[in-house]
Amino acid sequence: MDVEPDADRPAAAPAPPTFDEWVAARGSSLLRFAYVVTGSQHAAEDAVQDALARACERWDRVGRTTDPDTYVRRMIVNAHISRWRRTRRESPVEALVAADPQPDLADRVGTESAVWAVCADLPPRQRAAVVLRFYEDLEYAEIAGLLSCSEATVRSHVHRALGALRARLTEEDR
Amino acid sequence: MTDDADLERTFREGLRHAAGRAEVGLPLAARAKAGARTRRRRRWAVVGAVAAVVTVAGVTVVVRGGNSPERSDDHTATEPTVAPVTEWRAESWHNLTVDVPADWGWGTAPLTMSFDDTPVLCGGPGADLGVDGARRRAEGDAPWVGRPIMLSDACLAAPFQAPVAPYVWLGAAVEPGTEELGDGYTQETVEAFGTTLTVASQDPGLRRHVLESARATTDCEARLPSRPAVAGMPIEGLDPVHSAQLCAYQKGEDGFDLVYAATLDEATAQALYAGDGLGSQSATNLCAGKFDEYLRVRFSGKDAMGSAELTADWVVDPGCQQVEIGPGFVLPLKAACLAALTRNGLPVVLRSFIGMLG
Repeated sequence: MDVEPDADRPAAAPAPPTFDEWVAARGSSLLRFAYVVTGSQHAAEDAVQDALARACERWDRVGRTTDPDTYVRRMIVNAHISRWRRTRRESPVEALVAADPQPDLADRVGTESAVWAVCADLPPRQRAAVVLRFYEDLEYAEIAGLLSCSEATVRSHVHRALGALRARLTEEDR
Repeated sequence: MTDDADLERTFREGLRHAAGRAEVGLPLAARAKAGARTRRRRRWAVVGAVAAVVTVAGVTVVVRGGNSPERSDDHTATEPTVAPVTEWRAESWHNLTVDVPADWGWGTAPLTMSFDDTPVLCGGPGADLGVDGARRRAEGDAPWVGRPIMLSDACLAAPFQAPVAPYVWLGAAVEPGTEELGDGYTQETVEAFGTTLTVASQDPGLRRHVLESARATTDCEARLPSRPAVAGMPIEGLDPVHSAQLCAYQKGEDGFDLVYAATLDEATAQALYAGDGLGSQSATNLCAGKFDEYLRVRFSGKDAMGSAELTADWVVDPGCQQVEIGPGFVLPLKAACLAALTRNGLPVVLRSFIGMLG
């Protein structure tokens, strides 16, 4: 006898992913995010591992949140800022290497280098604001909440970064 | 390229391409689990140490049944040992000033890292520094007034063990309310003058006294828009100097926040003002602002050429061990002078003394 599904019964909420499942699905994206936040592979791996270790400890809670990504990205940003505060030095930023770029790639590589160089010159908090704005496409208010500062401060960070990029590109055009 | 929209697009494309260079496909879950195990072991090591202190510090008495004085096997309990407080001192944090027992030391209070809302205690528990100037990090059972400052990079996450000593926390990351902590300790937290005030003790009278003593900070400005500046240095000077107020500021989000205040005794104030412990050569200002922390020392005394009460402000840069005594006139501080200035809680409040690693 076939049993018809009970149409009146609400569908059970899907089980939250296990920690392993979630990391398998999101790990690469987190590493890429951490890479642009920190500026180096080594610092990115440190920040991601730090954040994931904390998330793992409380996965019962984190896994049930509507957006574990946001939670962990916030931890990554702050793990990097905290590490920087403790050491008061930037992680060495990897240079953007493009050996013998093809002519049609030269412009793109040059522009990308300028973006990377501008980011490298920013303190970690400002850099995080820029990455969250232009890589994660977050609203200013979301970034302010994530960085525990005012929206005006975030706007100021982003505005300064745009100014720095403008200056660098103008300089390169000369 | 000057258009903001173009620049934003350039940022987006540049970051997207850069992100593509990250090496992915790493065993992140396995590493994270190993990291979590390490963190748990470290935390349990701290908890174990605290539990050991509780066992040693508790005073065990026999609680007898009400109607049968002969019985002695009902159960045991820990009885608080509370001595009356006879002397109090003021402690300030931002715009909050409270009275705490004068013999309590200084230490840390729960704070939150910006990546996590869980309060952590980075240092202590217990006074890290006694009023006698002795470091007490290993003891853990000395009452203390704590500020949300990292005194160690080994942090203990909430919930914390039952305390083994009473404490007052200024500006701690604690929600307002009352909590029974065990061993007879009650913790009360209120919002006061723009921050939080927490007191935990087995003595309800002490808790009440501390909470009722909360007031706005008046001896020092709670916040300065910029670093403190020298002021009011009369050419003829002050004579005699009869007191000096020390206000310690640390750079915050919107200016410099008061993190500590103390009054220097008359002898120290006079010795300092007389130049004892100041170098004679001008210091270079290359180091200035290394830690974004400054002490403003406001001397009060009589006008040397008259009878008016005057003040003069010096600004000490503790990270660089130098003092500005007039506009642009910077002198090095000798160790003895710095020691006189820091015969109080400052060594566990300012990063200049704590160091970046706690």
